[in-house]
Amino acid sequence: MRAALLLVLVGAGSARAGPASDAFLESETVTASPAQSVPTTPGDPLWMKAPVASFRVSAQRSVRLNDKRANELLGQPGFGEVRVRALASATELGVLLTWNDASRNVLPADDTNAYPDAAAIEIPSVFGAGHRLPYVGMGDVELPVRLYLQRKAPKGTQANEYVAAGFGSLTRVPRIQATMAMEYDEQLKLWRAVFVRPLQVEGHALTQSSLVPMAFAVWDGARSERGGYKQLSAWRFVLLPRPALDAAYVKYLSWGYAPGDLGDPAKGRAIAETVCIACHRLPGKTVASPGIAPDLFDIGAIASPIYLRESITNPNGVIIHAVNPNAHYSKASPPDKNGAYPNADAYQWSTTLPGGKIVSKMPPFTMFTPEQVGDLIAYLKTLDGTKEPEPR
Amino acid sequence: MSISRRDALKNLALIGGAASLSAQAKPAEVKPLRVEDPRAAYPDTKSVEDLYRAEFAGTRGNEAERGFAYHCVNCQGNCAWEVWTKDGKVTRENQSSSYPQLAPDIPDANPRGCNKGVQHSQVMYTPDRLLHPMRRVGARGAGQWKQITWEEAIAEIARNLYEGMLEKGPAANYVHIGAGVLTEARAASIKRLGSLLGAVRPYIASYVGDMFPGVSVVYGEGNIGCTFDFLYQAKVNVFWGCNPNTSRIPDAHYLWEGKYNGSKIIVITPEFNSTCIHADLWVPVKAGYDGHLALSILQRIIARKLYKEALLKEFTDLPLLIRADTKELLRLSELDAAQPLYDAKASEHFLKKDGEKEAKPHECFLAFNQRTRKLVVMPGSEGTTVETLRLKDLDWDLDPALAGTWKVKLKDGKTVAVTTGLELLKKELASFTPEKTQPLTGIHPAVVDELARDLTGPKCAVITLGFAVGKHFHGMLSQRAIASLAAFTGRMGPTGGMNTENEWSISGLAGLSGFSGKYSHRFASGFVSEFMLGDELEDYDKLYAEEDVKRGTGVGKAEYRKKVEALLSESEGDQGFSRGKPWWKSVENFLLFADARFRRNKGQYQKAFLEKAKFIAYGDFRVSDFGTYADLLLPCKTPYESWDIRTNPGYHRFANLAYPPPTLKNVGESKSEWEIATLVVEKMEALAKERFKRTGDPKALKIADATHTSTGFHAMDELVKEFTQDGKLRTDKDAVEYALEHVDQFKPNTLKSMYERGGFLTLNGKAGKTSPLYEDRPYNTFESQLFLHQRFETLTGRLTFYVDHPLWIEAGANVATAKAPIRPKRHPFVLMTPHARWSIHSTYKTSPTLLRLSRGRPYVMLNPEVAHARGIVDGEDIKMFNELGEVIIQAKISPAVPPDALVMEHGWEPFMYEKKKGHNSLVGDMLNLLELSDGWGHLKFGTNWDGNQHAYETTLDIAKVTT
Amino acid sequence: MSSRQLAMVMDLNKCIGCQTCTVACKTQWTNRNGREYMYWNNVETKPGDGYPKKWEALGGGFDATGALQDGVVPSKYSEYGVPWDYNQDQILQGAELQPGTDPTVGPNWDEDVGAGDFPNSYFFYLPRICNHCSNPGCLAACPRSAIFKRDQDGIVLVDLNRCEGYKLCIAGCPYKKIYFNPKLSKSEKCIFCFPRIEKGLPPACAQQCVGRIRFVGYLDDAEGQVAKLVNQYKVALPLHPEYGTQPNVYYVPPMTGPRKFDKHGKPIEGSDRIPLGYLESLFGKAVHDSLKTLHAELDKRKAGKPSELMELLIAYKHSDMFRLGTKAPEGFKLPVLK
Repeated sequence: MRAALLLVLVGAGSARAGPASDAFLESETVTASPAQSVPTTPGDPLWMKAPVASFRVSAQRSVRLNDKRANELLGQPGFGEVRVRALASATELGVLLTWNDASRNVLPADDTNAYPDAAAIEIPSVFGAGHRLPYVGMGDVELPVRLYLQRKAPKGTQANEYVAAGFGSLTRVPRIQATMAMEYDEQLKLWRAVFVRPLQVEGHALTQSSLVPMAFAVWDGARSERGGYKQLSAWRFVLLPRPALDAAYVKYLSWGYAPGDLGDPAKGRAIAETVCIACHRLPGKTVASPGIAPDLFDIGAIASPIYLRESITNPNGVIIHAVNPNAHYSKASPPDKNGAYPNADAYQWSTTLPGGKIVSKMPPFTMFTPEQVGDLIAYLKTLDGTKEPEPR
Repeated sequence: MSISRRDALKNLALIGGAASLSAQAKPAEVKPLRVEDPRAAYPDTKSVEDLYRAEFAGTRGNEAERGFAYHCVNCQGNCAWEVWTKDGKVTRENQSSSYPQLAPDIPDANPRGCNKGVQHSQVMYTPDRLLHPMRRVGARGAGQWKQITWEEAIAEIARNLYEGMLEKGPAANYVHIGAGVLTEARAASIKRLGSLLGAVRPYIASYVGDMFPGVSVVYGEGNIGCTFDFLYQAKVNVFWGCNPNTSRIPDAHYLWEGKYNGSKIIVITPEFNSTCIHADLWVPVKAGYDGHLALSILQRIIARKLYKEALLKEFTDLPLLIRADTKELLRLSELDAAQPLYDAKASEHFLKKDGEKEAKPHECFLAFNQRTRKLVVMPGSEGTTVETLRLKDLDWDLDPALAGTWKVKLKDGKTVAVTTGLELLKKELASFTPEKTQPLTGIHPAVVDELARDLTGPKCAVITLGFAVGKHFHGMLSQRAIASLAAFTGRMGPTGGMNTENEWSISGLAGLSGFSGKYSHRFASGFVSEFMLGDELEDYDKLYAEEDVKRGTGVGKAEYRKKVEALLSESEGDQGFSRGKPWWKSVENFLLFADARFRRNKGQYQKAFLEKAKFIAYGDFRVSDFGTYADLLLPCKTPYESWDIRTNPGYHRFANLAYPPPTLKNVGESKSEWEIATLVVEKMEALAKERFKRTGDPKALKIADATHTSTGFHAMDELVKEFTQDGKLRTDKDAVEYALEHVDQFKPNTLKSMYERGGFLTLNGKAGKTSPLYEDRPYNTFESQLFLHQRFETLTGRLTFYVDHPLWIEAGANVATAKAPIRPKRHPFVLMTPHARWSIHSTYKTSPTLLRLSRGRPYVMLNPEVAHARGIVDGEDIKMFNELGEVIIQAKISPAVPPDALVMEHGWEPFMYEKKKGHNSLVGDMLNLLELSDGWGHLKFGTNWDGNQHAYETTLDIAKVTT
Repeated sequence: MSSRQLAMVMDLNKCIGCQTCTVACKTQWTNRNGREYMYWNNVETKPGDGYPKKWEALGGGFDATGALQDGVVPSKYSEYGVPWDYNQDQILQGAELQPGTDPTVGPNWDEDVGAGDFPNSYFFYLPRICNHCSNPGCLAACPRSAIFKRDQDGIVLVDLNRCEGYKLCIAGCPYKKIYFNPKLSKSEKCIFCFPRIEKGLPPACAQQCVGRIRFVGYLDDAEGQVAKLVNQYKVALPLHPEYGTQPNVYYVPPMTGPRKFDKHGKPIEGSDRIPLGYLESLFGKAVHDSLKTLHAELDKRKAGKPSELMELLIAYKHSDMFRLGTKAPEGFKLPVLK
């Protein structure tokens, strides 16, 4: 209740009214240059006319997967950033991602433990004023996302379009409504990947707001990255030439960017290390069993302040399923007649109540004052995955 | 350029129809899908299930288009398979699995088959399949070929064979179908062709070294024994020199089911092979010392009196009297019949004329009857007119003495001492006590004792003898020692005994491959003719030193060679026919089928053969190493494309059918051997008639043949009529129908009844040879002897322990004995090349499917200590070498191999080695004089009495390859 | 959680290592479409590295608490082995027959090697298919829940429509019996020949097993050999039960082979050629009771007394080894192994 109230209060302000908005727009958006038509080849010179924004990407550490070698490589430095350019025509939006990669890895024609370099963009199904941001890791129960993924194949690109509403729900869209291509520049040792799609496709419009939330993920085949092993960004935003800037939406999104929005990270850390660590693992504080809740090692790199605030104060509004609900079974429960133990409930992040309502296992932390929430978020924003978690 | 999932998944259903992918069939109503617990419920199982269902339907094809086949590639296992096709192509095969169970307490024979048969569908379509007739256009082996028509190919064969007959006589031609097609109907085609033309044909079993001549000595025939289901019931099963888990795959289950049934399984082999792993006792005898071990066991059995005297008296030659002076059997023909010691009255029962049959005193043998204390002729020998072995009847009562010495008077007035065979055997065995043989055999006396008890105590004990024992220079003597051991225990019928390879009595097929004696092929000794074709005496000179030959034969190297050559010159050519082991130096035109002989033969065989061969036409379904040296290549059909029927050997009681799937598309231009043979005779007849028309020379139509025709000539103007029996016998299908019509043991059956049953028939009761073939009991051997007292097919009519052939006496082998190998001692390792798991000889050896399941290339197994000492690591290429050359091969390190041996699967084609130099190029051999001996009693050349080429009589050294 | 569970028992005392099963499976499923390197059914010599190479050291499965363990995805080049192709089309032209890739590892690389010192060496054969586990490691590892157990028989399948080829299932399966199909970019595995099962045919590997070592039936079919061997006599044991997946393929462990020899060549009475500790490492502590039962029943049979267990293992009729047409009874529960 209280969270909802906060949201209303914040949303009531004006869009470009303050330093928060400016800071937000400065650091989190890339402006799409208008174009007659959007080129679909990564090398097209037209892309160079568009302004570039550089966004940080970091290895996904919220959930731990089970590939021993990939886990060993997790601590090694990743790409660090992707550079994003955008072009928009009257009917299409195009995004060019470039990132440095020392080696070109393609979808193996043959081998079984080699992985392709890949890139993806993610866009919420609904966005704009009045809508919160979905969970950046493939959306959540309430807010699905669209994803466009391309992997480098020996010839050309293997491209797919998906919808997802949280971990494990990625579902292919049968007819791809986008054009994707990626090329490796051997001289510069960098990838260029283009994603072009109509502004309007079946079931999904990009024109819901001038600020199109977009998250970026890139995969380094050399690090055995695929699926959940990826380097991803937080939600960023492509600023469309039309419609006009959605002031209300900017206002909502930019909370946390003004000095004073967030509090004291040291205080926040104290809270986190007494309260949150019961379920979440933090750098140096890994008492919780891995998997009973998302790890927070990289939370600052992938979550925006507004999202963090929402998920602390109103977790039922941001329900995320466990990434791997079957990865833990309960030996405390009796096995079924064929010897199968049921999944351990402790590792499920949500509960379905009688009647079908899904609630998060995380209680709403309504006992925190707004200041404490600010302190906590200030601390969480410092967690960008660079602090080495204790080995499992 | 994007690769869509739809395309990728379509690939899945390569064979199946279009798969339904419900997720894709629907329009874009896309919702993220989350599955809660896929162990409990899954929203859409059907779409993926349908993919696999469609794929399965694709491999299975249409049931009505099913064929049947077996894979007759000389494993002799002979199993019924269902063959599935789709769009005219074989997709897959599986065992027919419909053999009936004999009785509820006997495991059934299903699903007969093995790892090689199960992939025949794959090799039918591999790129080494011969598709078209090809003519060599470069030097032999250079790999230059021209595709020609069948007409051209047949014309060339016909011309060469015909001209060979005209110019040099029938013995110029060598017409043979090899071990790749050991079947009743298909192989009869080329045998029939060879017989019609009087061509030379060698005996397969002896040239591959898979004969049991030593067993023939004792039992009168080498291929004796039971069906494998009988082994299930035996209380003790000894597997000697064999590895049924690897080389008798379809039958091996009876061993382990037998073990659960209480059978003790004993394996006697130098290496710890795949059968040893489940055995109760493994006896790691040193290579080539099997005979020594067998005699030790026999020595213990006698010393501990673990035998039944009554059985020895009735069934063996051990009571027969032997002259001390000449070491020859005492024969009635030399006895002074007037002496009081001779019981002429009692002997008369066995000598009186019976119809046409008259006694032959030279083949009548004597024993000392303890009832009358007189010498008496023993019944049942080749010379007596009574065929029974019965010791007591209305007219006689015999109790032959097993021990004793007597003085007897001969016709020439001499008085000589005689004694029994058992006395001499005991004397010989004194040199073979377990304590004395242990240093040679490596076998502890306690093991010998255990074997002596196991072979004599239990109700039923069987010794199954493998081919490995016969692959040593003195393998024949070892086989004989083992057979003597089995014979001595008196085991026959339900009590077990000797088991090599049972053969059924199948009558009525002679008319398919032959002409009732009007024409016959020149049947050559396998081991001699191949040995001589390959100039292997030269390899003998290179490999064996004086001391080796002395150790192995008692005489020097040159002298031994001289003796061998003398015997060979006796029996060479038409003049030598019936005077020993036949072979023909004159052969120069070769029409061969399914006989990849270069992988098999040794030393410099290939070079020698190619020098002698004027013309080589070779038919096969695949490219073998031998085929690459042919002048003409003929693409043949495989078992799935052929009609055929197959029964022997009798590991089981079924005859299997090859019935091609009705809609099968021909692979390339392949033809059946029957069709090829028919085309050849048509062309030869046309050539003869044309020549006669041109020259008027009657010799063009009548080619003289004094020894192998009843008419004195081959009628070249009647070839087609005679070959096809007036047109009735032209194709492989005709041959199968002929067999079903003419073979008593197949009745009552038709193609239809066999097809409906699952591709086989059950032999009727007439198929049993020395025992009845009961409907509800496993087949065993020699019940007719045990219960009906019938004679054995031996000189004395008895189990033969004594051979008084002069060569045998000279070699000290008149009684069962054992001798040291001649293999050189100067190299540390004996090379053993047992039958393979992954091929039947060279057939299927080049199958990628199977090669992927071993090491992909030839390899030799060596002991880890040896490898360590030589700094050899697993998987590296090493050099094997001796005086005959060197071979590069991959090393595989295994503690299953004894430190003094190298063990490798055989059958690798030379072209699979570096520089095409296969392991057999290092192998030398010598003909064994005793195997060459002939003309004594039942030791007369034929399928029961030939010798072996020895494959294990070579030693080698190894070294790292330094590059 | 499936309604019923189909299971297989393999009797290692009857396995002769002929690999007819392997090839039967290959021609049925894996000789095409990117599966060429896969052996849904393989037979390996134990002790030995097995297939894929050293699979027992590649992780996966669950710890004692039921948590999925990290695992390694094997490489085709160093663990599975490249399915060598040959220049068969060139031999007629005079070439040596050579594999296109130098063979260094393969599905049966250490065939018949084993361990020990001659003449006390030992080995046995271990055929392996997917265990169609009750708690499958592959299923647990899949972040997409794209692997499922069929309700009617518990057969574990990959939903190829959902599989994204992440290969986490491969890391998660402790038996390394799920494979990556590079042609499809998806995982595939032994499907227990369910399209055959649906037509009343046993899996190809079982029906075509010439050693007659494989029994197929439902665990809840009390009259069936599978249930008797697993539940009643407890002689059939899962491989590596400590992996925590509750496999549904069971093995009758090898009885210990011929006696060993002392240094004089005399057999050592009562000696175990295959060390019991080694068998325990494969089949758990239950192997001791299993072997005791087997020996005791064999002794009974040798003494001429009836033994249902020996009769079951003898399997008089091949067709009786498969019981596919049974109905689920009430109240079945798999006994828990100690």
